[in-house]
Amino acid sequence: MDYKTAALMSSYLAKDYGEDFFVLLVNYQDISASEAASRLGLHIRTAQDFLDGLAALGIVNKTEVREKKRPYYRYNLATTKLKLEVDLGAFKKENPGEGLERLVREMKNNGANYSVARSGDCFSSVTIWEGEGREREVHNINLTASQGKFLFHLPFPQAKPLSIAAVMEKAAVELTYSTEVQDIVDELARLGVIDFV
Amino acid sequence: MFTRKTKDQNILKVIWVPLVTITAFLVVLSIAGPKPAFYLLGGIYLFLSLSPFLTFWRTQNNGFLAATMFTVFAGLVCVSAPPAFDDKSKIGLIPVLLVGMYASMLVTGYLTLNRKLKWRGQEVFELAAMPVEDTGDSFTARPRPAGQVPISKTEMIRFVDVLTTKLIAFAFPEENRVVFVLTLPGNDLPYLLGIKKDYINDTWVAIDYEGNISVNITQEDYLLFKQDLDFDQLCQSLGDVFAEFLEFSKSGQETRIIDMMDALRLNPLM
Repeated sequence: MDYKTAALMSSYLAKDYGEDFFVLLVNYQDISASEAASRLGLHIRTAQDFLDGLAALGIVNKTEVREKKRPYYRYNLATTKLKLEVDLGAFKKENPGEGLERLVREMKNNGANYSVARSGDCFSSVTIWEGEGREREVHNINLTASQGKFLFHLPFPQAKPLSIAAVMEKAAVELTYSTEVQDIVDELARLGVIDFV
Repeated sequence: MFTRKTKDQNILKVIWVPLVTITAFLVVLSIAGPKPAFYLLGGIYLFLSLSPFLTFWRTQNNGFLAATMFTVFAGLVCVSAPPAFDDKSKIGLIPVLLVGMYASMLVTGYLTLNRKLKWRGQEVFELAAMPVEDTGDSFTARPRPAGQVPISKTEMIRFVDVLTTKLIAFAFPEENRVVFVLTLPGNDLPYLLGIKKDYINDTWVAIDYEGNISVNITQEDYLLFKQDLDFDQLCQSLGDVFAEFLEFSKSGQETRIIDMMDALRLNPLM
């Protein structure tokens, strides 16, 4: 299951009246939105949206029936077991471009402001201003220890650029932290603080 | 031939105190006569004696004791003199005070001309700038690691003493490192008075107990240089200068640190 479907399903399950709806769906052969709404004391529109949402997720079946030529829908439960499984490992970033071999250094006149951590050997946060005038926005990024060490050892704008791996080695950051280091590198490159050479 | 890479400081930063004192003295002299003018001058001298005393107290630099004695003697002379203007028999201790004043003045003058009462920030910048090229537009407002030197806690304590008493830098001891803040003449008062308790917006060199050196140069201090020096090289060079100072301190050759700076022959007052 992808993350968006899981999030949608979770939002239906988390509704105040969600459990009451499922009690009805399990115990009724089928039910219409107006029947469910009157039974649970909800607005018919709320019940309709909830049931349509479940139908879109394949949790209930939606069947059109006619009463004196006027069509409406009845819903019945498609399954009594819901399985919610999300593979968070899918978020793991692969090495973009040449990965750790990308040459980096700080960009000229980037205007970022760094806060030195108490230990003095790394940064604790970086503040970047984006945009102009009233549109100007402040991004304050709190850094992990490995990100802070990496940025502390990042070559200056006129200095010889180094590969991400070389900066990590200089900063004594283990390779297991490479994904979080690359995440901050990519974000700061997007904000115009880091330059890929 | 040595070419200076730092600009001269504004002389007003150093001489504004004597200028204001003389002006106030002359104004009171012309309005209220000599007695109030001398009382005012005496009061100013006694008040000003706090500054060298504070510097002596904070840095243990004995030269400032002589400067304190000079201002105290001068203040006492000025305060004791007015009664003797009308009646010479009321001369009291003035001759003794005058001897003390002149003696301490000579010592203070000698020490000043020999750069013993001068904060050495500019000379440190000059030493750091020597091997650095002009590449332009390379400033960035963040600290930079600048190498590693072996150092023990005892050596660090000794180094802190050397840099403080020789007026090279203010030391801020922290849990795992010592931060040395470079000070230019005329900029030391906030530290001496304890108004400035951090170094966030200053130029500093930090050495931790594992020997890691970090350097931070502020934009204001970077503009002290005549050229747009390569900032990366400049930070590294400043770290190297401190590493060299540390080596001298470890081997008991502190005088060589001062010799290096004296050899630059910068103005002893600025």
